[in-house]
Amino acid sequence: MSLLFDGGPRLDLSLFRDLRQRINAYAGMEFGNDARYLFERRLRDRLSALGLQDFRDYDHYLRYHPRAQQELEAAVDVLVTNETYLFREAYQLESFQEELLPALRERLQADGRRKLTLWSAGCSTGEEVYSLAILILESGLFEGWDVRVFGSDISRRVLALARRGEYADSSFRATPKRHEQHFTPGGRPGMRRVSPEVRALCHFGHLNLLDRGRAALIGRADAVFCRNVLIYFDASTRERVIQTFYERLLPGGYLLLGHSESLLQSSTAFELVHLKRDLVYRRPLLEDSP
Amino acid sequence: VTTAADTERRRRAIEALRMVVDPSAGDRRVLRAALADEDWRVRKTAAAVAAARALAWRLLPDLVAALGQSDDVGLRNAAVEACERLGRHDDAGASALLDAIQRALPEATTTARHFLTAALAFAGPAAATALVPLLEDPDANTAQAALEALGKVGGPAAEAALLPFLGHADPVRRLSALQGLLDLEAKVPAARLLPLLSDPLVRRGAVRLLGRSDDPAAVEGLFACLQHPRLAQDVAVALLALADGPAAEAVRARASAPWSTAAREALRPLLTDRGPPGQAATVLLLLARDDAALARVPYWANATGLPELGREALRRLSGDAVEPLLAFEGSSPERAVALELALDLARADPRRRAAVDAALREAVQDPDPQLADAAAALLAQEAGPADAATLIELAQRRAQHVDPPVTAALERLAHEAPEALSPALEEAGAGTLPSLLPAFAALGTPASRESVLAGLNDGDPVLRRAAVESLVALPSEEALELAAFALADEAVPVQLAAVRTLARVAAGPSRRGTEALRVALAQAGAPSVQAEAAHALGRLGGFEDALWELAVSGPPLAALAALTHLPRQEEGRWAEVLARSDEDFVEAARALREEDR
Repeated sequence: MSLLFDGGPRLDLSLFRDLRQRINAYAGMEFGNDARYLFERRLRDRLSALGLQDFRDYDHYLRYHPRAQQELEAAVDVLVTNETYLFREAYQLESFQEELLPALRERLQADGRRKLTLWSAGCSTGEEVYSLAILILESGLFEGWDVRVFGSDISRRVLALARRGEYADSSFRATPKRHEQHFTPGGRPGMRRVSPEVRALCHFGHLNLLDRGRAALIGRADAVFCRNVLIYFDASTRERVIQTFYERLLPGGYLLLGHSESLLQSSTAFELVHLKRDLVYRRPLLEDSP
Repeated sequence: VTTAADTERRRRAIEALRMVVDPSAGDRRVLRAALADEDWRVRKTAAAVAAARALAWRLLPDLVAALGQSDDVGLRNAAVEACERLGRHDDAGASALLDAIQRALPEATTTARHFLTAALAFAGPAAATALVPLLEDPDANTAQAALEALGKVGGPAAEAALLPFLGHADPVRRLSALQGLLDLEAKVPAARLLPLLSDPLVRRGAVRLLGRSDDPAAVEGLFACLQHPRLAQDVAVALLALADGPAAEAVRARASAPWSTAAREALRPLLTDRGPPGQAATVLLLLARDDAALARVPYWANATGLPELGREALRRLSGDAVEPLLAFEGSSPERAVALELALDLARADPRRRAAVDAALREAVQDPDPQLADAAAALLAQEAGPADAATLIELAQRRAQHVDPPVTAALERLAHEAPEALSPALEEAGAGTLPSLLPAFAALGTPASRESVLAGLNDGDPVLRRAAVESLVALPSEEALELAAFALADEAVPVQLAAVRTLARVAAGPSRRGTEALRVALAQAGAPSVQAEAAHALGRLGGFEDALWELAVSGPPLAALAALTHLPRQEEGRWAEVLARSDEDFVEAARALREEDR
């Protein structure tokens, strides 16, 4: 299909605003006016998948069809860039391994707990979840502990890929050599598969971060990773999601955001923790009474 | 319009009269005329409207007059129909009809008396008192009509009035009395009926009444009637009916005593019947230890379940029945039932056990999955370590099909004889087979734990489901944690397994399980998951508020599941539930409430 002369269905401004509003209400994602052509181009595949003529039909489908909810999920899936890779933002992961994991171990051990729970919120195709599991295993700090890394995403498609745990070379572009031992040849040529030992620590589930009630299924975590996800949200959604993380974290638990994200604009009870190469947030161990 | 040439227009005009509350003289005249309309459809509508408005419009004198006239048969039939509808409608209608007919009877002509008497059949049990003197009416038609009407009005007075007519010299009266008692489902003492067995005109009816008599004295007479091939069918059904009440012991004793050849010969042809006579013949001949009857047992056990007397007959045959049951050839469900019966009998007669076990092992290999499944379930019930290989092979063969009895048996064996099961499971690759994973997990080894954890993360939802079900083998805190997260799985079957696992583990002190179940109750995307959570929390108890909330605003399937666990007496809450806009749901909810009440 030509990008310049395609004759596909057009998305007019008013329908674009409606669709944008609908996506925002469902997943909290914020898109500027410049996203109109992104919507038009990427959602055309959804129109043809559903056998619809134009965006007015699509709008009608999202309003009234019994499967509208599933379709919103599919729409979000095509609008969001799920591209990620193993050991992304290495400096942060190194800080996590070198500073946060020992700190967590010390505190948990002092509390008599031998259980470590991490939550990768918006885990996409699973690379972050497996990266974290590998770092925990290699740290050697938690042998014999109950270790769980939960990954959640709003897209069922990416969760299926995450569960498969097979990645092409491009996913390994930032993977240090020392971690390659945790991968075996995959089922398809050129693919590598996460080892069973790592996989045994990892669990994937379908969660919309706006759904605060269902987030309780995670239980309480010692650290939450939510990197390059909040950038998609509007300010009020960001506040809500951050509050969910706060609730899900145990006192003393850490929140790690992407390098371009911060809580500077948010009203939050998190405290800032300065690591050697990074800044992270922590739920205070002792909270002020209201 | 009521005089229009077009029939349908006239009929609709009459139908419209149903709405008139305060009728004019003209309305009454039109309705009376319609009862005598030349077209039956108009007359029928008029009868229905007349019945509906009879009391409000004070129409009964008109209807009774129509019953008594002989000029217009169509009008009389319409009046009969209106009276029948009125009497059936409610007690007030029946009572008013009785009054009106009683007032008209003294002045009625012979013909009119006949039809008025017949109409008393619609006037309810209170009409029996009015009918008794009419039994002696000099007009034979009226007396006969009174007898027939008694059989319809019912009640103890009607039954008592009918009984003497069983011995009436007139065979038509005898027959009417018998029919009336049959219609009333009366329990007539055997002594009054046994003499009728020699009367070819009424003996079939007498046999049927004897079957309802609950009287042990009926048994011998009925057995004697088996000699008559034409009666055998009714006699067999009557005897089986007697065996279901106080006369059971008498039936059992007589059927177990020696039989005449003629009686056997009369019943055997009925064995191929697929209705009540066939079932009765099977049970009775089984009591007589007749091999031909044994061959029919699997059919009945599968089709309707064996009556208690049949089960008892089989128990008496004990081990002797095992071999014929194992040799039974029929449909797969019948063969499965035959195996089940044989296993039951072998439990009481261990000498036959080896033969039954061998038959079960053979049947699990049967190409017909219906038979193989049933045999596997039976084998699983009491499987010992020696059966492990068979069960594992079965589970391996159908790896994607999680067969609950087989899985449960293997889990049990994993606890009882882990040393026997462990190598076989590992060799079978149990860690990656949904059908074997729960048993493998029950071994509680590090390898089995790893398999469960890996299974939770597998791409195949069938294996994930099995892994979630296997979580019960892990320490409860860990199981709760992981099962709770499994509620976020994309696949509904996995979520359902998570709810069931949480329900099994959540009975302990931890609140984690019940909290997760509450999330599933309120927020699961699939109504079936919400329903399962409602059942789980309902059984655990203490979550009424959450269940009421679901009942009031949840999807119908889940709301109904919640209602099954909620008290029936809370009027306010029920009012909210029954005020929902979904009519089908409201009807189902109302039925559920009434059923349990």
